[in-house]
Amino acid sequence: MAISAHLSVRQSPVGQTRRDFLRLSGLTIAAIGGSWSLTGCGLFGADSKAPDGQSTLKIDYVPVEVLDPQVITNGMWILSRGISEGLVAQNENGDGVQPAVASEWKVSDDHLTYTFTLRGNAQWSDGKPVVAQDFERTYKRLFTPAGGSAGGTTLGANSYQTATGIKGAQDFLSGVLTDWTKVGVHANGDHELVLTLAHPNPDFLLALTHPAMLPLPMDLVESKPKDWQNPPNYVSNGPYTVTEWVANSRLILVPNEKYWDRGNVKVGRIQVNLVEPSAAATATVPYENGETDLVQLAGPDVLRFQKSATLSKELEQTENYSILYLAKLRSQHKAMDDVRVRKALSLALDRKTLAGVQPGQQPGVSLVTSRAKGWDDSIAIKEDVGEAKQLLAQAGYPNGQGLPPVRLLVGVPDTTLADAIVDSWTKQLGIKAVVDHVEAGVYTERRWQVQKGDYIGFYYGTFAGLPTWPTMVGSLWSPQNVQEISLPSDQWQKYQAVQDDKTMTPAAKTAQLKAIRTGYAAKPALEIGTLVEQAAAESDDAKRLALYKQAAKLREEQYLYLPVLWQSLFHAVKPKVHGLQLRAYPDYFYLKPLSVVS
Amino acid sequence: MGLAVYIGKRVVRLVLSLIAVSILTFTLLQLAPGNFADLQRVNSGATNLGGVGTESMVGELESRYGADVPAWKQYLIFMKGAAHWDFGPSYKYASRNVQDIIAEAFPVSATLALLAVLLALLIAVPVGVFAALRQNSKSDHTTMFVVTLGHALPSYLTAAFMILLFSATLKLLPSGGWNGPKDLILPVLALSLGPAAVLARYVRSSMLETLREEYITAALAKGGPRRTVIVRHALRNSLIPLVTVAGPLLAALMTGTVFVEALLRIPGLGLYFANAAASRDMPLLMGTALFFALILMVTNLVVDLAYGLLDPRIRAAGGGPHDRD
Repeated sequence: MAISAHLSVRQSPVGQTRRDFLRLSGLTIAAIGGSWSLTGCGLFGADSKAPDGQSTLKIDYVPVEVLDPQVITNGMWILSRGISEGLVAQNENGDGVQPAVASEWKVSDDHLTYTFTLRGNAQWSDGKPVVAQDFERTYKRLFTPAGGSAGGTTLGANSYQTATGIKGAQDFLSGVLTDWTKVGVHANGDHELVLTLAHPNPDFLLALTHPAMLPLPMDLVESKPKDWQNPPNYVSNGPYTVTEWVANSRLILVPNEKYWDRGNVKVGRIQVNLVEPSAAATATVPYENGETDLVQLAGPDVLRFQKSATLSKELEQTENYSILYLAKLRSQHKAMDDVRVRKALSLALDRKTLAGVQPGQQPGVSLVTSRAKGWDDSIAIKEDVGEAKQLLAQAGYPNGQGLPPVRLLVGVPDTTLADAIVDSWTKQLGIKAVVDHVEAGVYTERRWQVQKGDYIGFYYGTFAGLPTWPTMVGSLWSPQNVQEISLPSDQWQKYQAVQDDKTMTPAAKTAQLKAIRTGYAAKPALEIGTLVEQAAAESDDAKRLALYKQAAKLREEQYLYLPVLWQSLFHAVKPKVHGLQLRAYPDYFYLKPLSVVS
Repeated sequence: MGLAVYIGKRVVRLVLSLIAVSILTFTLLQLAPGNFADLQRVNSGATNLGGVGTESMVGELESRYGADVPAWKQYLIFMKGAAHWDFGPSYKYASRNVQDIIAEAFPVSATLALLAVLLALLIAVPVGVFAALRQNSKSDHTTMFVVTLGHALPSYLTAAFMILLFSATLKLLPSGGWNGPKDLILPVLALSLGPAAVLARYVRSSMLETLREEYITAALAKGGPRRTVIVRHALRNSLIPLVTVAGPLLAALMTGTVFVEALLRIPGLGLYFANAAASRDMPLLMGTALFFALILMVTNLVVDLAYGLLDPRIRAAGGGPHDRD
């Protein structure tokens, strides 16, 4: 009796407890699942739709990590499309400028002083007027060395282009000059900005269209140094502003209601899908699935589009957009130090065949592309396999014998063209050549190193920029770059040690680096620098062009940088997108002329 | 009291493990070739600035960690901040602090993981039960073959197939992005198949084990309906051990969605982790690695505690959770 009662009592609470627990846990799980579903809307960000009666334009773009145009990232090129607006904008062809924030400008007789008049009705998206001091404060931030009290740039390389040529900018940025009043930027009242150049620069106005020269809302930047870029803080002065930014996912742009030309801004909402460049064959799925209206195409996709009756009509080509080049690697082995070897490799590239590997390519016969006004083939490389073989023999490598394998250091996923290049060398010269395909981090480190043993060759890269002589001779593969790459290996190591020295003052470091270049760089490389300086200072157009050509030809003749191909850019664009004006410039097109017609 | 001591011990071990993870991650990052600034220049296709950019970048790094900071001091500075849940700004996403990125991105990954596990359970339980009830029959073998296949396929391969099928061919679903509920379908499906396979096999073996228990025989002998016996007695008991599998699976998914997120363009924490590694973004890589480690360890602790609560036999035997060590 007693035993029976005890057992009965013990069983009942245990069973009940467990059953209740399971019931409660089930309800809890259901509640959690339900709440996740309910909050799912919040997970996707604000529920924003295009205003009634207006379509959403969807464009694909690479991921944007930073919205500061003074830092070299992909973000700066989306800003210059029409989120921020500079003093001037490029014209439809990209070879001249048209008024933007500045309604007009005057140039002094000596071509050194540009006086811009700002529009009286230009406003930021928060309603404040755009004034000349905004530009001066912005440029001071741009030209201030990182870590300075003015705020400096955020982490990353500074985006200012030296070829722009504003007086004192380079010295201020390198820390040599600390007196801001000696820099050629001055606001006269609210609507007049005076920019002074170190030397006349006929392409100065075009240079002002670079993202680095876009104005920033400095009150906001200084009061919220970290958060100014993040919506809802974000303020811009261009046709559109950013209302939503989900990193690795999307940017949402809406018209800036305060824009001075609001009536000509047509699209009510632009969704920028932030898409990591991916393999061909899958990259176009969103486009063909209606998820995006505009996408950049890779080679194999271009071929498929070209062959399709319907898709070919949606294909847009921008010719001569970028330059594929090879740059000499430093090495303990001396073979590549001999200009005859480098020249032989350039003359035997078989650029015509390489140009046929992918759509839209032309033989790259010079580092300056034919888009530059005044270009002619006097600076062009003339291929000659016979001469190439003679050069190898003269250098001590008859029929390539004794020449170590020539390496091509590649840091991008697609090695199609690199493979084609080594094929050309192998077939035309009978030498050994291999592609050294590495991860991007390995690439960035190794391309600057002195390669050990008999590792000789080039690293593989591409550039795009303004098709002007100051840019293509003065900035891209600049005289300083040519001098650096021409340094003997031991001097290059010393040079790098100075660059890495954290105890030296900027002025001292700059002086030491210059001393090494002056003392040990190849004489032709130093002469290139002299020619570029002379060209920059020359006021006569014909003489200046001649000087740039002379510098460009001399650079080609060093064969330290080998031009390989001039490459086109391809976009797929839905028919409903109107007003697209593609330019051969890294921001590709402006948003302002666009409209969507269903 | 025993429980409190047990939890205390686990927390101490958790902290020590996090420190070990941080040292390992930091060391590997220091050993990796390349640095953020150079990679940024290469990846953005920018013009070469020669010495100017270099000096600017060096100056910026100096201002962030102080002049001439050796690696060990960088590590200590970071860890001091981490102790207060302040990882500092990301190098790559320079306008955001790492802890803010985690707060924004983790709910995305967690949502995918949770929905995937729930869907996996919905698939696995009936499949496992079905296979168990038909043990060694053709149905059982066929089901287990399909399950094994599901287990073997990586989630990103499944995701790629699904994109080609549902987006490229049928054009029924978006191929990626994170703009609305429709964007949940493909990733959740892709992520759930692997876990479903694991859980189905587990349900099957657990069910088989339970079906052989004497109380099942007794219930059947009493004349209870077979369906009632299976559902109310066998299934319920079979599900208890599922906690020890589903919990870690959930944690693994929360921290392992990186490939599916990359393929489907979902702004989850896994994608940030991969980007941090690729661009040598030390604060972001350290922050996400520590957070992932924390999630995994806390989840395992919760599962261990939950198991004791769920199964009264463990409690009845007088064993506290510490007996499982």
